[in-house]
Amino acid sequence: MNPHACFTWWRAALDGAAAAWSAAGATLGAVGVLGAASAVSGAAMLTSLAALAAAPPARAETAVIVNVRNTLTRMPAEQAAQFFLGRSTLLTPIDLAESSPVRADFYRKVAGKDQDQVKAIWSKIVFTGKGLPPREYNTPAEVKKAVAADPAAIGYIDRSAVDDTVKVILILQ
Amino acid sequence: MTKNVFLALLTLAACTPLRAQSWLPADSPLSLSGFGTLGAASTNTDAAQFIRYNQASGARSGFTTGTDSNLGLQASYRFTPELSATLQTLTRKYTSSGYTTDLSWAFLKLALTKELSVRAGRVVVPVFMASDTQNIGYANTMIRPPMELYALAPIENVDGLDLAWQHAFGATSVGVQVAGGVSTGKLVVSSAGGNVVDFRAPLLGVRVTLENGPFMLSLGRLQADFGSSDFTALNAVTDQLRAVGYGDVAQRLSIVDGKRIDFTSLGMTMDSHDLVLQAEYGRRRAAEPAYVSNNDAWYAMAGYRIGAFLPYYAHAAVRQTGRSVSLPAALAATPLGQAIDGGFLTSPEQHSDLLGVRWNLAPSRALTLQVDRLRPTVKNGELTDGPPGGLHAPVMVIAIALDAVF
Repeated sequence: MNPHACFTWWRAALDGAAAAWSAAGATLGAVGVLGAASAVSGAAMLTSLAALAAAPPARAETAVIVNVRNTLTRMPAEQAAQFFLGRSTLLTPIDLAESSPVRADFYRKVAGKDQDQVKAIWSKIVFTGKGLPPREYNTPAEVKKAVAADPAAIGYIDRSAVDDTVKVILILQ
Repeated sequence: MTKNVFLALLTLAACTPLRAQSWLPADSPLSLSGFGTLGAASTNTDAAQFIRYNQASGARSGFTTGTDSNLGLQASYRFTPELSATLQTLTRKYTSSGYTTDLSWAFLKLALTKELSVRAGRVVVPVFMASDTQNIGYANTMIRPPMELYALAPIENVDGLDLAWQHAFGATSVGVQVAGGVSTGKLVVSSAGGNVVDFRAPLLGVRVTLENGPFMLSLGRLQADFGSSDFTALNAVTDQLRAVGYGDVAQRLSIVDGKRIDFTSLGMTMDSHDLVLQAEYGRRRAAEPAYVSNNDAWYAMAGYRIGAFLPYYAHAAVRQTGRSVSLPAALAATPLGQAIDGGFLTSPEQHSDLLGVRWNLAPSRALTLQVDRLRPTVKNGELTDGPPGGLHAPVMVIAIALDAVF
């Protein structure tokens, strides 16, 4: 543990709480100001916590992929989301690493959720012993290899990384 | 574990950005994970103590870390793709005045099919919607589930069998969980002199969940034969009753032989775009005559995400809807009858409003600030160690909690 980092966190935390408090106060005074006040404090926070949420590349397309032996040819986004949110265990989800912008983009497009929401959902599943979160890989090549090795796997990669070792069943734009 | 060692460990866990699992190779059959909350809570009064349900001691006007702080550690081992074992410990202040560590989950799990599994050992009972996740601060919006509802059941885990089935019908996912076995634990009795009693409760619980897109619906039912032989205050009263010829009333009040208590709950959550809603209604019913009161409770929460912040508001209420034992008129007029009525048959009631804001300050870390305004209307509400005549003024509780999963 780095004591300095921890201290910085606490200070950032208290600053954030104070900002939120004043934003909330402003909100009570004038509901219309809500968006503006919080946008400002939110932006300040993101700057101070640099690189927390790297924006995905604009107009990126994400391909949802399965094993070539899988008989499915298409899958609606709502169904694909179920495997990655622990609601169905028929296919085994494969994740990119937490720091990957493609991952953040995927969850936003497929389920409308950010990484904190996804983490909270999996925390409930893990700590009630219902299951384990998807296995994570750092590169699209590793994801393709894992999907190619497991007939029940489902993964996602940037569309430009797709090749014939895997089958695309959904394109998220 | 002493308080300082515990809090130091917790600070370490909360401030270390590492994840437990990252210490292991990706294909390891062993999974390590954990969750923790470093919390501090304070009230505006020394007249009573604010507790989570079934805690021996709580918060007064000075800040205390014991109300909301906890640490959960979990290890899972996969023997084969179908068979695994999981252990989870939970350290917190609960039924004794210091921190204790209990085995909250300990089971062998066998996957019978991809969608059906059976677990043998100890699991947390799904009494209410958030019963099995309420200690994972990071996974919940509010710092603690509203005590109006969650204080109705002291039952936490059960030693026995648990069957879980999950299936997706199109975009709707259905989960069914059935748990049966024997629950043992301690019950902190705050009224009538106060003591900590051991209880034993053979039970059967069922929960059905439906999930579709942003919506989740949860329906739960639990039947327990709740029994305790060392409930000193209650046993003293039933002894007195027998001595003055009210053996039948004593038998009806007593839980020495176990009495069936039923819990039913209906809850929903919605998390769509930036709007977060959560509401739950639950009831407790004494299916066999007992001192335990019949209560209805509910809460509703609404929050709105603004970037990394989630401000929220909730209202909660509990009221007594009935009693399963009525005292004969001749007994009710006596001091003993009045003591039984006030001490056992009359349930505390309260309603509360709470306002909070959660901040996702870093991956897997959240900081929440919450202010509760509790209004006890009967006795001391959900507070403990209050004045004999009950609390009559609203009680404010302010709490801050740093949550982590790792």
